[in-house]
Amino acid sequence: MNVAKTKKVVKSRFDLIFDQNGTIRRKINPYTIQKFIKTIFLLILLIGLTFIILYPFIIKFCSIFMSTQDTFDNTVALIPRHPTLVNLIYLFSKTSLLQALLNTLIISLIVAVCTSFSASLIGYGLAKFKFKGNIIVLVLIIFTLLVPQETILIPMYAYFRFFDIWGIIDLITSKTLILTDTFFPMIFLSITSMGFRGGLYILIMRQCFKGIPNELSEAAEVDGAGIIRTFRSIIFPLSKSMLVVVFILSFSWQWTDTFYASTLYSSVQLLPHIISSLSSAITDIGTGTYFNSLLINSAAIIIVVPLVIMFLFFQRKLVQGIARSGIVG
Amino acid sequence: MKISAISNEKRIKISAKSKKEIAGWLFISPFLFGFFSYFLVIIIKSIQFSFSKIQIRTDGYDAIWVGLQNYLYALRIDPTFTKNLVDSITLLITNVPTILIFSLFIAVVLNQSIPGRTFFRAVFFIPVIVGTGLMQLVDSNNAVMSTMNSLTPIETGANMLSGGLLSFLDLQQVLEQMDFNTNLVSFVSGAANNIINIVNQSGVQIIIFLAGLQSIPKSIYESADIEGASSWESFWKITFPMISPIILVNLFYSVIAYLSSEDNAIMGQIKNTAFGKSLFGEAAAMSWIYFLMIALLLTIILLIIRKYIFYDNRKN
Repeated sequence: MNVAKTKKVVKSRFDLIFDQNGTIRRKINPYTIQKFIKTIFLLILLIGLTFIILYPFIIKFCSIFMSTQDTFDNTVALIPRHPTLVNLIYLFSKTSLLQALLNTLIISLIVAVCTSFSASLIGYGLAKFKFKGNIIVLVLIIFTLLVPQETILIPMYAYFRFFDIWGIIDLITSKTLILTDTFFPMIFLSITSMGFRGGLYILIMRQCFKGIPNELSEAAEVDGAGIIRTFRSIIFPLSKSMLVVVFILSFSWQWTDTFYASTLYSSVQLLPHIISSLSSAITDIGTGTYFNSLLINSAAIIIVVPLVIMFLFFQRKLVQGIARSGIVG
Repeated sequence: MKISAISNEKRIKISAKSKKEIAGWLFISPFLFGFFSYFLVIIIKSIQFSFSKIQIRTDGYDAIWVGLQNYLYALRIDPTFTKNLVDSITLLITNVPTILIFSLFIAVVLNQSIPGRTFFRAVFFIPVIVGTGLMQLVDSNNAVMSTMNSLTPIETGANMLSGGLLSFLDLQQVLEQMDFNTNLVSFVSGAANNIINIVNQSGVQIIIFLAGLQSIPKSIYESADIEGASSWESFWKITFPMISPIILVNLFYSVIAYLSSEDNAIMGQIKNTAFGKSLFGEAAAMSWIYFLMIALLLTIILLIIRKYIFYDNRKN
């Protein structure tokens, strides 16, 4: 601790120097200059990459306020000459965008919570318990990840349209359940980690738990904590940042999902339905296609902004400094 | 008296061990339930498809058993399949390391204290959404986007994005004159030209790396700093080994994301065979061949890098 403090003094921004007359002068530490140059280089790089990433979204953002006549004007680049609110008014009054946002929010929250819960459980089981078949289960998880979604599209629809687990439901009620257009398929898929890239979340959590030293959980067990208690008060706080990542990824992938929306939810209004209905809303050739594109772009911004806000809210958890006190090495 | 005490102790020990084993199975039981009640059912159907000829009727389909014929079709008769397969896997081998290196670099940068860190983190989160179906739907038939992208470069810099950031032909020439290996030169300049794709494909990896970097205790860096390690050394000696379990995850993710991406030639061909030509059995056979190749590749990679993965766990 003491040594660290001394080090900090050496690296402080200014060295105090006494010159011959005895007055105090400040001299800039070479370390500071080096750090400054490094920061400038990194900033230039990051700003360049930011431009690459954001450029399509800048166009989309500008088209919120663009009127249709601006799209024909070759001298208009990005900044609209005739700014309007027509696009926004149309989106909120003539389409069920708000309803779709609400429905998508509910589904995404359910999926994200269930996924984080089940992925951490399964990952914990794989990382910290030694049992026969551990490796086989891991291979099975990677196997579920490797199969592309498109290959299981039709069987998946059939599965939930004629839902039955090993013929048990058929045996009792002599018919199968229709589970499309309900929240059940998403809950089922996320609890069992069979949803979109479900195996990835398990892998993330497993690798994270594997990195946590066994000594911690052993110490808790010696102190009399049960398996659940150990998980809740020792392992969970240490793996919070990974859990946040799982939550963010599952939420945003469900939010922007088209695969399940198009196969399982035909009568529930979700975001992809709005986008596809917008592209065929006005069939007037000429101004129509441009107006449609403006609407789609505005809708895209409205869809993306909540996600970015959600990310900003959660990224505060991605801060270094998780203490691992009590472990040497 | 003594004997019974020992046997009693032994009994407790065994039961504690099996209790842990049962707990382990309980923890993973949601996955096993899903796998056996949902995934396996679907996969078996897909395997059946690959061994049969599918004929679509108005009210369903007929599957006629044809044995290995579909596989032979894919490997022998279809003129482009094997070429696409080889191309796809070569691209996979060159792309994935580039993405991994780039995303680790960006994650390390975003983990430092730089001005505007929150903003940059949010920006690098956006590629996570860009590749998804909804955004592709947005961009698929978008008149405004295509108009804006075709404006002259002075006005928007749009052509700069579509035509490569700088003229990388020059870079290639310079490197070739410097007598580098031609393969290396084409790889480097290809990666530089491909920067947009690489940035857009590495959003998820950056976030996962960023979270992985959080779990490295700060005290290790501090003690290395005191010992006089430079930041370069502490990256290779601390960050790299500590993050290696996460590198494995990202490696898997990159391969999987590449597998399901739109610009993957083989996936395009499989989709075209299934939905364009209505050859469902042949498409299933193709996807199974492709799957087996990728599984083989992943196994080889895993066996090679398994030794180098470091878990902060002295007992393992």
